[in-house]
Amino acid sequence: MVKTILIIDDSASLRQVVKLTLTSAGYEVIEACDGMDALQKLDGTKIHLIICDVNMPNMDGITFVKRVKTLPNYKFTPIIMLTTESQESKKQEGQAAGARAWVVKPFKPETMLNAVSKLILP
Amino acid sequence: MNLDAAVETYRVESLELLDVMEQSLIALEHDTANPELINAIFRTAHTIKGTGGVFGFDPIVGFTHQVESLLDRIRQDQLSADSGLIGLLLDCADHIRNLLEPVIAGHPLSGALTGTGQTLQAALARYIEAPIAATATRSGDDHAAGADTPAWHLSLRFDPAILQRGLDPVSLFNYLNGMGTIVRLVPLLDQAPPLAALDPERCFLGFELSYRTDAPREAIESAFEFFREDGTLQLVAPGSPLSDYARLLQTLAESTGQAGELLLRTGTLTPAELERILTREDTPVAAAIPPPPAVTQTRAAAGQAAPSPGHKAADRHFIRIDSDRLQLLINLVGELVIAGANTHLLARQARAAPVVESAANLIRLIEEVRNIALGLQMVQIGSTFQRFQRVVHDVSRELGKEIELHISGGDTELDKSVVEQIGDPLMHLVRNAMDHGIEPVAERLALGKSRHGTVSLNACHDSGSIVLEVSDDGYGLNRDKILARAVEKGIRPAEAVLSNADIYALIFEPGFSTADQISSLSGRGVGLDVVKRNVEALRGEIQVESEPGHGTLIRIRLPLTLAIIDGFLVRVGNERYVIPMDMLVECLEYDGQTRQQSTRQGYLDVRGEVLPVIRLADLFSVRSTRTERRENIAVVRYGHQRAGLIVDELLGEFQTVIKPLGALFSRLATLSGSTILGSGEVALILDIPGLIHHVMTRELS
Amino acid sequence: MNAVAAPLELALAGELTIYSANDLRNLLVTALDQARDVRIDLGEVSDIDTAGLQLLLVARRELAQQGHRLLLQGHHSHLTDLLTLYQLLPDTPPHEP
Repeated sequence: MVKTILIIDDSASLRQVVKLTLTSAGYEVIEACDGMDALQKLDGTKIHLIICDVNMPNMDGITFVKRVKTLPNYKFTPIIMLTTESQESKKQEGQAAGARAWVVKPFKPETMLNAVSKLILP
Repeated sequence: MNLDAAVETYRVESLELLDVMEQSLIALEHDTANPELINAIFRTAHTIKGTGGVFGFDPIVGFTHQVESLLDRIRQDQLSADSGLIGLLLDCADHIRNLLEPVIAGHPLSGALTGTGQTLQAALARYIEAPIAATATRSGDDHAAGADTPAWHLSLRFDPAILQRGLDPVSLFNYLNGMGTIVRLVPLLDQAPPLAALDPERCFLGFELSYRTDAPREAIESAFEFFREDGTLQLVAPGSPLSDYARLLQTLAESTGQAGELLLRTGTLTPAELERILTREDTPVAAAIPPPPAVTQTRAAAGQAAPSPGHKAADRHFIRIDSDRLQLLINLVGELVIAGANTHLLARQARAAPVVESAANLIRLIEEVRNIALGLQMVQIGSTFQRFQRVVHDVSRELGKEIELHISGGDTELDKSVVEQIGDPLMHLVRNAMDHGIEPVAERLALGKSRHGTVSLNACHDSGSIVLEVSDDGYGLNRDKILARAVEKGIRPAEAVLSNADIYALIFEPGFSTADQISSLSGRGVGLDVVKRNVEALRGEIQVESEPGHGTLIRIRLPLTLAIIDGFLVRVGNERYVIPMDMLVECLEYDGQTRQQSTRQGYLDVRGEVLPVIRLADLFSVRSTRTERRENIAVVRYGHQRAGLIVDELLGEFQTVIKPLGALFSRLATLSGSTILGSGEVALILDIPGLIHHVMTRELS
Repeated sequence: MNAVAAPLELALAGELTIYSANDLRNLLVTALDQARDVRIDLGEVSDIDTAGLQLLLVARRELAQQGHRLLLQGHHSHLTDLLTLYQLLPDTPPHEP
């Protein structure tokens, strides 16, 4: 069964790189540009992993995580938060919201792939 | 992996983010504590850095990181954004912009660029007390396990909530199997309640495993990086002294007997080794250690936070389209319009009512598609205008003047290619207004004017053209000085009698400059004549209005150069011509008597106003085939000027596609293109501005 | 061991994951009341995670306490690795009768 990953980031090029990386590793990738957009994409489609930027317009990553945790079909979905080392306080907020996996920007594509493989089966 | 497309997206995206950064910084100058602005600025740097790192654009990442650190301090109220700091950040935005091309191209940085970077970094560092070292990226190492490698022993206990947090040990084990081999795994159920009392969303399993790998300890530990908050890992290296295993046994929650049995089941210890631990050392292994991890994390609170305010520019969703593909689409839509008109015509000729109706529907849909397609290459002038905020900010400092920029009509849309080409002329006019138009502060105060001079940029649509206005509330043009200068430069003879408008227009003549003192801006050897040339190249025109002591307004009128227009079809002899609909004012009847009058004098009296007229048959040397005594006049307008076009027949509204004229016709200022009629005939499209110009100059001579 | 009753046959379908874990738990609780061996056909099961595996482990523990067995069969190959890893299958590859 092909695993589907939702990548949420306001940077289109970052999404492209992540998508390229993950699809070449055999995952299916859905893109969203912010939390609001992402919520609309959570329409019943099975999502195995969410990769989510912290700092986004419209709906930031922390708010998005809190929302996801209320959605019956998605509340247990593993989430990788994208962050920078300067966002320690955000990390605590994210932890409180239930996010556990963090990938520090900037990251190499292999790093992302590595993080993903620690969280879901291929 | 081909990253070219993503890199290009990154480049465009970064340039846009830098625009946002610049605009927000300028806005911040007037609103220094606005957290939304500060966040927006932070986010731009953040994204440029974050994504740049993914591509390995280290110079951009390194530099932007410093900028971001500084912004973070502002964000946390450790620094306030004074104008000095904003100036520095604007310079940093420029530097990032300059870094983009060479870094993306993989070229080494020029000495000048490196120098600027160092200077800026030093300036940033003064604000960021302790500069932070460039970021390092982490990556997991992959190690294949050697077949005969002795095994590690791993003992895992988890917070029951891990599953709810999206952490599944299954993935962990799979990851471990990727860099080694799990020889044996024993799930422990001793913490699990009976099935009927079990909360199945919580994990009560513990795991003991023996694991064979070549990977170092850190690599194994890194597999657990996401579980660290929610679990404990005990790791005993292969070949460790028995005392280490003894310590492991001691810390296992199970009774010694079971714990020992566990290590036997995982194959970590041989029975003999276990025996030795249990007998030789009289460590108090029987003491039960409290079961591991206490729940330290509260569960996620239901999402109640309000969405954070985002930057307006990023709110909408865009996709990028290659402009060639867009052009292809528009060309095809053009063909579609013609084909649709042809079908409609044939249907009518066949007098087949259902087909006519169907064709009419088709035309209506094509029309919608056409409008949408054309809209695709229309962009708002606003972002071009916004760029001038920075110019005004910088130049007013340079000049020691206080100048504000007012922008209106930023949502006016025009063709993308026009927007791209009008930027430079506008820049010139804005600089000119600041340099020559606005008075220094002292002088303004002495004149009883406000301290702040104002330069305004305005855009609007007017009768099928776009009007762009650059105005200031400064000196206004000095008629006599301009005239004297023009005579001195030999641009106009001293005895010429000129209207105010003619005199003002002289400032656009080559070699004209009235500035008493040559400033750094006007000293560039580029005059306003270049602006005029650029505008004319876009088939536009420039007008100047000025009131001494109150300011100057320069108005640029540009055609909306579109591929498809609504036209009005007229006939002259056997030829058909198209008048762009939005330039047609009215149609007049033309009887024999007035015909004589206009033929001699070249104008008509229309309701008391003089209307210059021209007979298209004469202009294009076409034999007029009129047989009736009546002819028709189409009254057209461009800007403030009107003219009447005498034609044989008015054929009505018609939708048409402009095809560029071939080289043969390119010298004709009165035609702008051709089109194919539904019937297959070719019609020429009249260039109304050109025609009016032709009529006016004819009148003058 | 109660040799009289034939195993209770259960056929599961879909995901045996945390999202369906409550349903599976309730089903297993009912099944365990039967005081029989339980044979579960996993042929239609598409996915399983630790939550699902934990339920099977606990169910097996309770059946064992009653003197009964939990038998798993029909599972697709991609589940085999996980079931084996969690020691839910005999060490030899599963070819259940």
